[in-house]
Amino acid sequence: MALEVKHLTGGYSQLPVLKDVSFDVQPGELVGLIGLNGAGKSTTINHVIGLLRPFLGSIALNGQSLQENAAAYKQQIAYVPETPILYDELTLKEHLELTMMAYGLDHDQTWEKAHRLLKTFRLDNKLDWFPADFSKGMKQKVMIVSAFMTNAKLFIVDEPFYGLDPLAVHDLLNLIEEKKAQGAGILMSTHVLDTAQRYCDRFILLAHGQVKAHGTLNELQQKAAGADSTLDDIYLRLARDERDE
Amino acid sequence: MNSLFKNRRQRHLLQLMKYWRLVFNDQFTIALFFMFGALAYTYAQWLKTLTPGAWWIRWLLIIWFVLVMQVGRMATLIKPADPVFLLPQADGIKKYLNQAFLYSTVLGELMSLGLLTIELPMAMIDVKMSAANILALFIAVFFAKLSWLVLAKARLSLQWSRHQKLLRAGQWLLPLLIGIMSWLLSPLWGSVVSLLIWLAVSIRLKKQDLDWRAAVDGEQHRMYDVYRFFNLFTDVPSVKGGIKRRAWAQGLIKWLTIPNHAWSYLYARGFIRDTETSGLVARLTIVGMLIIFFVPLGWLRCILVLLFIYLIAMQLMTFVDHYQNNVFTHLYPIDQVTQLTDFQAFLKKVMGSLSLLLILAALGRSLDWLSMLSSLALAVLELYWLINIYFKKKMQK
Repeated sequence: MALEVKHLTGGYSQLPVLKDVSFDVQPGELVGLIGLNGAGKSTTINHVIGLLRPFLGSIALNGQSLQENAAAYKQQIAYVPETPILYDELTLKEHLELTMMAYGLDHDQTWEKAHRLLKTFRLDNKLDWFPADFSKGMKQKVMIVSAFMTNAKLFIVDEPFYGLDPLAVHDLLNLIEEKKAQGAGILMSTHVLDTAQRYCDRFILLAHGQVKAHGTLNELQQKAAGADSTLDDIYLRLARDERDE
Repeated sequence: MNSLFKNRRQRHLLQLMKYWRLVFNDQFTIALFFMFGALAYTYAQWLKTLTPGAWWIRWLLIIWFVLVMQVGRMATLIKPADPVFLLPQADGIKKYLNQAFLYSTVLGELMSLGLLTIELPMAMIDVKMSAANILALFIAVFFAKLSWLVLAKARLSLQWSRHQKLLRAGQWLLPLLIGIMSWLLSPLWGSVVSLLIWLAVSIRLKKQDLDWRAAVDGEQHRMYDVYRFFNLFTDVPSVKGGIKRRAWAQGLIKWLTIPNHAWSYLYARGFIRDTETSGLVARLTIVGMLIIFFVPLGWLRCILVLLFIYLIAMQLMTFVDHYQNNVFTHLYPIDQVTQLTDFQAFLKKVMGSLSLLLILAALGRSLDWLSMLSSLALAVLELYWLINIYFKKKMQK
């Protein structure tokens, strides 16, 4: 059991965006969070990373919850946001050092990992650059390196493919595979459905703040259109249903 | 189109009012009151030491005259989207600019005349100023400022925007000429020359069509300066400091960082490299040192030391929330207590060192050890209260 979200009702103000959302992410599993704009993907993620407090329901990660033990919960997660968020005043190298300090990671061991990742994403000669000098794609890569060099049990990745070049997308997917093999769970929200279809083990389809369907592609196909429908078809059907409602 | 400028002026004034209210919050009114009091007192004391007839007095009057003219700029309130949306309004924009010119004139004249009165007491020492002389001087200032604004408006026109350097020079040299006439000959001459200059520039620069690019740039520049001024006192969202690497300050960063403390690491780097915060603290410290050093009274120096420590600490304490908007600071598995103790340690080091500078300045020109030592003792108490008691209470709220 890795991440377990039970009957989550929540949102930003008094008005709930999410209504009774339940799902889980198991160790070694990549779960895709799919839905239209405004369906509640980001709200779900904000709850999981602890920026928002549930109105009702619970979120637990390996038995730890944010309310009971925030530090133990946060220690286990790493986050790659949709738009890169960096400290303007820190160099690339300092960003990584800060992450190591914040998570209490072993300095030498983690730097070894970091160097490998930096090389993969062709950032190894830019250690002294400030964020102002980076392109959008480079910033996204910094976020990825910073998250994936940790020993998190759960990676939360929000729309990771925009702004990345095809090579980097490929490298990121490899990295995710690697983390899965090491027993980490990954929750990924995305609109890039053909990639999601190929790589995700399971899917959660969100609409209007509710889980409309969840399961493996096979299970979704059985519930929805037919055996040979793609994730794209299923998603579009869901989208049309929603519009007609 | 007729009401456009009026609407904008209203909104602009409302916005400025909002910022002025923030400037004049409790602590700053007290601080400003003291600072102006100290400045006025120093000025008055200094005037007593002047010997009438010293040659440089008149030149000082002239320099002040020229500087005062530069205050109060041409405010067009033009926005970056205007060239697109107001493109068809070729005639309307002329009316708009005339309204803007009137508005700028009223404000500019008030500021220039107000600031000029500061030098009158000094002038009285050297020259016996009759009422007629003072009136003539004000007339000279009035038309000098008016010419200055005509030049400022010309800088935004297609006909003249390419001659920026010439116009800029005119904005300094014409007031200089009028100032020299007023103070070396007589204010009467100054007013006559000032009037003639105004007639000349008005006729020469009559034909003007708006240069949109120059106008947008100029207005943005002006607003940036206005915001920067307010940013001295309060947080203005549209002013964002730049980031400088400051490799020379690497040692300072290291000194400020507690090894293996993430928050300490962040605060040290953010403070040193973000030009906004460190710039503000540095400016306040330098201004404070200068004022303290030149104030002739020992007890007043001591109060000013405490006052500046208080002011700077208030500014610096807001830095604790500098990273509030970065989501990652909420994700770190670090409890808030550690963040606050790290910030306290940071405050202690920064405030401690610049307090030392202010205390040193309390020696004054007369090397007053008593004043310095009492400042030192009181400052230690004040810092303890600010960092260990006040800051903690504030954070608990």
